[in-house]
Amino acid sequence: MLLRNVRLQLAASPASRIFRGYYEAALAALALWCRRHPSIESLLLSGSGASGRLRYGMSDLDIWVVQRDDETSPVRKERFLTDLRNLHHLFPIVAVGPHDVVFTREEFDEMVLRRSPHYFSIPGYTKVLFNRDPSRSYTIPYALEHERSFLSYLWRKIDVLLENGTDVKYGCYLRRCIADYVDDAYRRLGLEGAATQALTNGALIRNLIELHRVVLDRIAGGERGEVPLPAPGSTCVIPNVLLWETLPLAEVFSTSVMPQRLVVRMARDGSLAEQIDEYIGAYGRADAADLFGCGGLLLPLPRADRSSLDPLDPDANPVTFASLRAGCEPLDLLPAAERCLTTNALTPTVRSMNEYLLRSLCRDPNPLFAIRPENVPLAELALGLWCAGPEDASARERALGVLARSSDCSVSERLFLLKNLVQGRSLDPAPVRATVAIVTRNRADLLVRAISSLQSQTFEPAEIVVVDNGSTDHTAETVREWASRWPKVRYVYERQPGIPHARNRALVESSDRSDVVAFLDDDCVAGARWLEELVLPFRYDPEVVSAGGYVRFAQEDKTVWGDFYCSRDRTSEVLR
Amino acid sequence: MIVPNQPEAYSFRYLPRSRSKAIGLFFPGANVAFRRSALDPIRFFDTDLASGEDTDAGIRLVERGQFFSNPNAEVVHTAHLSLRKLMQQWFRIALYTVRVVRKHADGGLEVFLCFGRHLSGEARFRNLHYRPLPKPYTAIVFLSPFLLLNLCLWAVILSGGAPAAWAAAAGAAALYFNGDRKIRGVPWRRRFLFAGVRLVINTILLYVSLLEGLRRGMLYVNYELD
Repeated sequence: MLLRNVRLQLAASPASRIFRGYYEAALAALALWCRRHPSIESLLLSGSGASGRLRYGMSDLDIWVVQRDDETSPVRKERFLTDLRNLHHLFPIVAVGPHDVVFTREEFDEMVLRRSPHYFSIPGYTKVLFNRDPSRSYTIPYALEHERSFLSYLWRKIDVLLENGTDVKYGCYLRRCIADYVDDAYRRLGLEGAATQALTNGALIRNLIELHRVVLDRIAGGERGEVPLPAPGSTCVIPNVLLWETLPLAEVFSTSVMPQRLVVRMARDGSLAEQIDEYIGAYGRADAADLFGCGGLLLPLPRADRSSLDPLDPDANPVTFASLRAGCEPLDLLPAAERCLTTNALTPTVRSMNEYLLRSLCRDPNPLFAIRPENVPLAELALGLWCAGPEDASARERALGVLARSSDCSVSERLFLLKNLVQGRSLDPAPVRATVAIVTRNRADLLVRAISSLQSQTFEPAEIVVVDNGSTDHTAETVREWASRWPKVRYVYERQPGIPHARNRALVESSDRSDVVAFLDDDCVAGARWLEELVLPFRYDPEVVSAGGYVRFAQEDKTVWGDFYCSRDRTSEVLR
Repeated sequence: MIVPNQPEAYSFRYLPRSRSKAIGLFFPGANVAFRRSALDPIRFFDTDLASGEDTDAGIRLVERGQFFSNPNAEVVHTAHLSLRKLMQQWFRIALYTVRVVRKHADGGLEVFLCFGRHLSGEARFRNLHYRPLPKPYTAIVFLSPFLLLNLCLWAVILSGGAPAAWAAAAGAAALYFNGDRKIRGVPWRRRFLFAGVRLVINTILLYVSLLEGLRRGMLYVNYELD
């Protein structure tokens, strides 16, 4: 058999030293090993990331190197175990390195690995490398040596498996079942029509597309290039593939040392938009989505097909799908989408991701509700590509436009762009002029700080109204002096004491000059992006009537509250 | 009526609209923006309220459109406040929260359960009971671990220190102090101080708002506002 896509996943954070050791070693070992397998086209190395989640690979061979030496959190441990329990039977090999600290060997073996047919570990290996003794610091070459021997052992094992004819092609029982099903369908219905049909109907996830390719190869009995895949836009359309899991692209390396294409990429903090642009530039727009899909999961179907599509007929293979279904809660979605979800829900992880995405897109009238800032990169691409369904070229253009544009936007602005994109609203921000109103009383010194923090805003205020609520100190002189230097500052005196009076006065004074009035307290200092972020909702959503930010307490007030809220002075950090 | 004065309460999102008049998330006046076309600039803020005018404005504005919370728009509160001034401020908050609720209350009996918090730090509310009453009669009760602790302490006092009451108070205290997310990461020595301060604040809030509510013909049992 041919191995095309190989994926090596290390269950460690790429930031960790251990991972570095693995990474170096893995590259070296893989370089050696891949020379013996010229069929390998792509190799994906990835780490589990800080979340500790193991990730899917949609590849011919998945190798997991598991060690949990640095794992201390019980939550992550539990999550990891659940993942592993759910996934280990889906993948051909779980190679276990050391895991002696959190999991005992017995516990781990008993819970997870005994059930895997292709589990092996190297005794003694653990102790050498991952001893937690702080006095024994290991250097990279030292680790490399061991890693190399470990990995070459691993490769040898794989070779043996391959030679013995163990079916690792589809990696798991499920994949095998799907492949059999597709195979069967082809045989029953005749070659070309069935292939086309199956591609159209069944290619829900990247995995399946790959499977179809394999099956087509097998049927054609030759090279992959001989059986052309249906072109997008023709009568049979391969539904767009969305990715979810690949999105931490930063953790994905492909390097040119390797046989075909492999570019070492460690841009862990690089912005997503840059990477997207890079990919799009390198491969052409049509291929970009496809490219992102490799190694990714997901997603259902273009919108138009949702009701009519019959993904993989579950009744044709009841054993496989019944067991899958048993573990899946019914989802309150469109029936076809539900079936599709259920069929694709290999694990709770995937299911929850699918569910999350679909719910936020289909049911939730306001997708932003569901999307939190830490999910932005994921949601961004998912939403963008969702909109760029193959059936609607203009939507696709718009989505790609948003993705391209998002490189010079802040995260919040990108979210609003995407929200408007999904909701079909205007992508151009409305022009908004903002007045900043500061209400003050006897705090001239603090007021100076507040006003000066407005000087360096990324969004320029139309005017600054300082309402003096009956001060008796030198507030008036201070503000007038500011006003002479900076014409936007205006001084207003409100005789009647009381914050409501002063605020009303500020609203009256700002009339007709601005669309938005932003209030800032005199004892607060605004961050450089304060006004921009505060005005953002008004620019992108005409329904927003009020927006607020958050008030951080600096430590310099030596009160209990100040200490309570933050343990260090973050004023300078915010003002940066 | 809850003004989210803790940073954890914020996340990037639209504020949910609550069905109850007694509960809602609004922005503190130190860092808020309004769309001018949506409000009446002459008497937008209620001049009868010395505090809580921002909350009051928010309640009236909520009918007219969406509220968006963007934690990236942050300001740093740098003023030096003495403990005495802070106590005054809490006192005022307790007082005027009641007035704002009173102003907007439709009349009715509302009972909320607020045990636990959301991940974002907001208190988790569940409306246990609602019964409409004729307009002037309003009763809003938040059942919280703090209230439980208070009741247990009263039980201790009234029973003259019965062991069962002490045990119940200890349990309630565990429930109350355990829910405090903000204390995490604080050195142990300080935790007791913070817990004590929190207890004091909440006691002030509870009794001041209770008395003020009763004075205005309303039963208002506050939840812990920390």
